[in-house]
Amino acid sequence: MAYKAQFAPGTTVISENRRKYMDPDYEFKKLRSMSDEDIVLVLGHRAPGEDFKSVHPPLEEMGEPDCIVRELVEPTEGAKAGDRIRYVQFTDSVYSAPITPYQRAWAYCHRYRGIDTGTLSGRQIVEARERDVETISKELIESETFDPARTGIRGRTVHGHAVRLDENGLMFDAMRRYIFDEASGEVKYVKNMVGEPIDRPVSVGKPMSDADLEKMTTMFRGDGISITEDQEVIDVVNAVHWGRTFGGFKSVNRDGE
Amino acid sequence: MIDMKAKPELQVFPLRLLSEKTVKPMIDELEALDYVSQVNCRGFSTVDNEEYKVGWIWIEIESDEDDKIKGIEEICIRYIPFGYDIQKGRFTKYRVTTSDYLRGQVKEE
Repeated sequence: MAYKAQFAPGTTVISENRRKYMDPDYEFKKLRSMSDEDIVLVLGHRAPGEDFKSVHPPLEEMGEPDCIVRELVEPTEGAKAGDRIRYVQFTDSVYSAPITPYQRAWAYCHRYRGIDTGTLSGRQIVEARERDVETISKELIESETFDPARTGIRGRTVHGHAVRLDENGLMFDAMRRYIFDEASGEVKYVKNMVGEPIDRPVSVGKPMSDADLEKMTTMFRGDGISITEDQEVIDVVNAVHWGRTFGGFKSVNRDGE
Repeated sequence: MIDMKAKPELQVFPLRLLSEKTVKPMIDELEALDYVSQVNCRGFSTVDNEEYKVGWIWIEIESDEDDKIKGIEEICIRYIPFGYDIQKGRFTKYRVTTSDYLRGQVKEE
């Protein structure tokens, strides 16, 4: 019998969203469209139109040694070209952001190749070859995992995920990378990921409503859908907790537990 | 002689951070009430110091009778449409402390 991945336990809409985002066969819903130049401006790794810098010649020219692993694994576009390693980092607000840092890690590992991802309390970094980073960023920013108000593209001074939202519903950003344009109701990036001013504002669209976010999020919240409503998740969390706590401590003395 | 008796205070904790644009007229209106003796607020600013977000407002009142608190709440509801928590107590310093003497902030007579 072929194994079918279950991804995450639970019966609530939150658990369903977790499974959806982690499943590589599920294609993210596209909510907005950004040009390649917009992405390059926001990331700030290179000027728009500039060539990708490389750290080694293209693999084809390098004459690689005979190696079964190299034959088995097809290199990503960035690796083929010898790009530099660059990164993109997202901060997710605790106020029902569409996805949380840890679930980003799970989703990334199921979806992308040739990446290195790291989780912190409020942010999630993903490192890869430069053109792969741009492809990944484009997919993520355009998708349903990104909300203009509750998700931030932040390279540094990332804090703000657990701070109250401002009057327009935007997550606090100490570097003021994005502003709320009252005339159009859109959120616009006026600085790149690390806080340097950019040539022109980049619009990432209108923030979503609280009601919509509650249906899309992967976050259990006391004022939204509580974890106590999902017995299956609690059972799994308890089992993992029990295994981690007692599995290592005199486990030989615990027959049958 | 230092006045040891503290007046009661109300802490307003808005559920979203307020901008200075909202807070200034609100404080003016609160200070205009005859039973409010002092209004303080606290928050934090962005790195470039161009924007200040207010997260806490402390209103010192002469007495904490219900109708007076109601008057204050009426103002809060108008300026903070997305909700706030209100608490009665004492939240800011009301007398000189030892640290103030150490820092030389008190002039000995």
